[in-house]
Amino acid sequence: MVYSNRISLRRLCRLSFLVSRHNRHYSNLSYNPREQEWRSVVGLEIHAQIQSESKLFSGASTKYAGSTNTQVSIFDAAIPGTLPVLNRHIVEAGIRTAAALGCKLSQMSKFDRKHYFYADLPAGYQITQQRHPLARNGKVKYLVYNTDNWNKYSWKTASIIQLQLEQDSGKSLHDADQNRSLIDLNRAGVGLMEIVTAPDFTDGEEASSFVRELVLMLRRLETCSGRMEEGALRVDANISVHRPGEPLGVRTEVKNLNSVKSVGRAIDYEIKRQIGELESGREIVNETRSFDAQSGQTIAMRDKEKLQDYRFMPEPNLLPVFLYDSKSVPMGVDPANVIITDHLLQGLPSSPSKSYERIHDDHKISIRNCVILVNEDGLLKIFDEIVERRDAKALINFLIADFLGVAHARDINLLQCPVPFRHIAEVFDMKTNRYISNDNVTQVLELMFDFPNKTPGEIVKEKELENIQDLEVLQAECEKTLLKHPNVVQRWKVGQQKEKKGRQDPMLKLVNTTMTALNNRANPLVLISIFEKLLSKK
Amino acid sequence: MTYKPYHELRRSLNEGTITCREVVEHYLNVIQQTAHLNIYLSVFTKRAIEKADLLDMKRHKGAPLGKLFGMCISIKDNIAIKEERLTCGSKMLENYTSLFNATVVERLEREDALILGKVNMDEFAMGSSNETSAFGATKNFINEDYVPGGSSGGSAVAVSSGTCMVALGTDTGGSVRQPASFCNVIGLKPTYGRVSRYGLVAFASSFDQIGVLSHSASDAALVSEVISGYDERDSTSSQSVVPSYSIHLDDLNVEIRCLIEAKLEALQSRGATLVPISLPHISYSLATYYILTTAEASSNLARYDGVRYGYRDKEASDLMSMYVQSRNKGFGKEVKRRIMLGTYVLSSGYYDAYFKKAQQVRRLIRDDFMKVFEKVDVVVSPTSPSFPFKFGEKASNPIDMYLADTFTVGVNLAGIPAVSIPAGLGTNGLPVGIQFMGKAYDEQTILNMCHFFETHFIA
Repeated sequence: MVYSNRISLRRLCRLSFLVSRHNRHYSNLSYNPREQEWRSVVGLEIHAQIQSESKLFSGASTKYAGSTNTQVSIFDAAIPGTLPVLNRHIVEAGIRTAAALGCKLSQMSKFDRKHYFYADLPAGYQITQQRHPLARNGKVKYLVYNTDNWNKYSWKTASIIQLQLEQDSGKSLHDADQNRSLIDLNRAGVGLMEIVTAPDFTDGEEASSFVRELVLMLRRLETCSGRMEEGALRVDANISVHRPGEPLGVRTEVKNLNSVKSVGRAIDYEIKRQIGELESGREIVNETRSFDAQSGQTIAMRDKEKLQDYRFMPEPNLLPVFLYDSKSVPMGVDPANVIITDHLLQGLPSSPSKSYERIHDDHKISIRNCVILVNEDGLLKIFDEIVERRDAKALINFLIADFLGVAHARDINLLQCPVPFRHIAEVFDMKTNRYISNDNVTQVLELMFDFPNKTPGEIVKEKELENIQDLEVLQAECEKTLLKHPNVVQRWKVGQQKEKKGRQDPMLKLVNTTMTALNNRANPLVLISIFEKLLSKK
Repeated sequence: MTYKPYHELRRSLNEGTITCREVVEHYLNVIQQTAHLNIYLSVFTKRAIEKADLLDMKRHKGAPLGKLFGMCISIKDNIAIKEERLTCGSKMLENYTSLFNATVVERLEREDALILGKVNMDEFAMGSSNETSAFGATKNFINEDYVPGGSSGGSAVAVSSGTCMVALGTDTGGSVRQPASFCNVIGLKPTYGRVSRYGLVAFASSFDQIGVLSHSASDAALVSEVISGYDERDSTSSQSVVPSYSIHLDDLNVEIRCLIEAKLEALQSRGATLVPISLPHISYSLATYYILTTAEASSNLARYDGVRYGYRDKEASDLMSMYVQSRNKGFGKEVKRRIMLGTYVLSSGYYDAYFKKAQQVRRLIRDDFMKVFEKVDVVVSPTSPSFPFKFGEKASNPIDMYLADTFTVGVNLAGIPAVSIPAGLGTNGLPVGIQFMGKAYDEQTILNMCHFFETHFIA
């Protein structure tokens, strides 16, 4: 009900008169008009391009951003006489994804043709799986959170109605200057999985959290790059509002949302818009809308045929897809003609929400850090491999604050981490054991990436970065500092009679100066104790 | 050169008493002499002569020769040949050139066949008389006042008039067999899935099948052997289809009936056992056929939108008018009629009543045939319920025209193979064809039957 709060706050001024009257009437009940005024219902249709070298029914490349019309087979261009041949790899990726989303796999799925005329749809129909999808009835648990307020998070579950395979369309490029449209068929026929959810979301925050989680899941599965900015994953949202106790309202569909943020903003805007329309006595029209990220508004799309009749028909050029496990496959069936699922379902990665839960429960780590750890490709694996016998909280802080900064600056993909995990662990241990100072950690990490064949221990020795343990050397350096900065010593003395802060500032100055002189090769706590000893003698 | 079966010609070719070049020149000559019949939409004079010379050279060198070495074949113009026109008998594709070879073309050429040209047909294979062709109908060689049948009318006349040894046609609801019957030649429609459809421009994908028209059973057998077989580019190829099969004998011309019955008795006297059969659902076959094929056709022809290839109306001002005008002007009447019918039966609210029901009936018809084939090897029927008809006689009444497919569509609904072979002439001097239907993937039996029939009753 997070969402209802938000709407009603905005509406509060406008409706204050009405509300106060109602409040009077129901004053002895715990009636809260803000929460009970409206309910919003949101369902999603997600189109995810399946990672594959070639298209769903042809051998053409699926590479992103190729020159226009260079990745088009004769089938993709609907040249007469061509026929589709199903790409097995894509079906397998669909199966893995469906299983990871908790869906029930269909033993037999079939392809249908969905008809409509558009210039970037060469055959006049899209091959999809309307009636017999690859899988149905999934459940996904996901974490709803808001990066602006990490304390407010919750667990939700969304139902998946079905997962189906289908072709992507081409692209229309509208050249307004010359008043013409140009068609790029590179994308035409790329394999998509359409994931349809039940209307289980109440607002943009829930829906966008779900999408974020789904993207992460697909990336873990390596079945979709999840790159929304490249159009590899697009979201359509069906949105309606109604008053509690009344039937669901008329829905609108906001199409082609291409970032997690847009999903949230578009849905919240559309809910507000619909409520505004209804409260002004207007009706909601069942229509398709687009989202303008600049203005943050949804806009009705021109829909020439109000009620599209897609005239679904079985695709006669493709055989049904049969799934078996190695035990259930009937005698005499050629394994080349069916898909055996056993090996596909082995070693599925765990879901992001399971990871959040596990880390949160095992190590009592803040949700924020759990999210960072899980969302950064490869980071969780590093953590899991080296956390044993180490302080988990300190390790996560090290990974997020020290390690990730260096890795990001070097654009390193942690899924293919170029250094052994034990090297990372070694740096952490050196930091924890104060073998090196915090100030030298970044430098050691950088050198670690520079010299992946050397252990951090060897590097530190070679570059002389380890803390100086010889107290005499340290004391000599501290004495030098005191001699050079008599005014700071003076301030320290004055500060002794004051509060804590007055004492700290000069000490910090002395330590920092000495650290710099020692190339950060000291434990500052040791320096403080030396200084305290030296100063107390004065 | 009077007609001889290919194996006889092959002997002379092997011996060197005749060359491929001479064979090709002979046929090209006949093609010229029969130009008034309007058989060919493209003739590959240069290409065929060059290929013939190459083949002769090949023989000269003693290289191994293909199964169809020197066989002159014509191809229906809805089958793709690389860099040749592919009109489908339609203005829509009048100037369209194919980018690739159909699988059947590749297979013919691999066996050293000589392709002479592309032949006329009903527009997008929709018609039973050749009258829907945008390029004018082909005339029946037997009597030019009569239609050659359709949609593979060009292929049938190409064979009957002696312009080639064998022609490829396509059969969606009888389009090989009915013209074969009307032109007094053999027409074989193999089991659905037997021959790859890759490179065949789709009319109704789950019905379409490439077939062979020829003078002799042995030629039909040889060519089918070459073009059949699994093709990874057609997912439905070589998929075993549940055998089934159909026939129904109402509305049958009395004289044709007598002629066929006489042949049946003759077969019996030669040792065949006649078993009367019943196919309970066959009377629904024509309705079922026209619902399902028009639906598939409306979908398959959606791609002809003037965007990428084919006819585009120059006066169109925006996308919608380009679609409407290009399709309105590019397609002929019969094709448009079927697109409209198909669009209607697929539209929401009607799908269950028409398309879905027809699919269920198709399954019943298939099962009927399956049951029958538990008892018999071959099912016999006339190929066409009537004699060849005159130009214009049925063109104005589509239902009358559709009835010409009565005996042939059941085979396509069931997916089984069937062959039409000349059974004699009526008192009017017009030919009658007899149809042998076989079990799925059992082309062998019906070809054997055909050969037996030809040997004993025709020669």
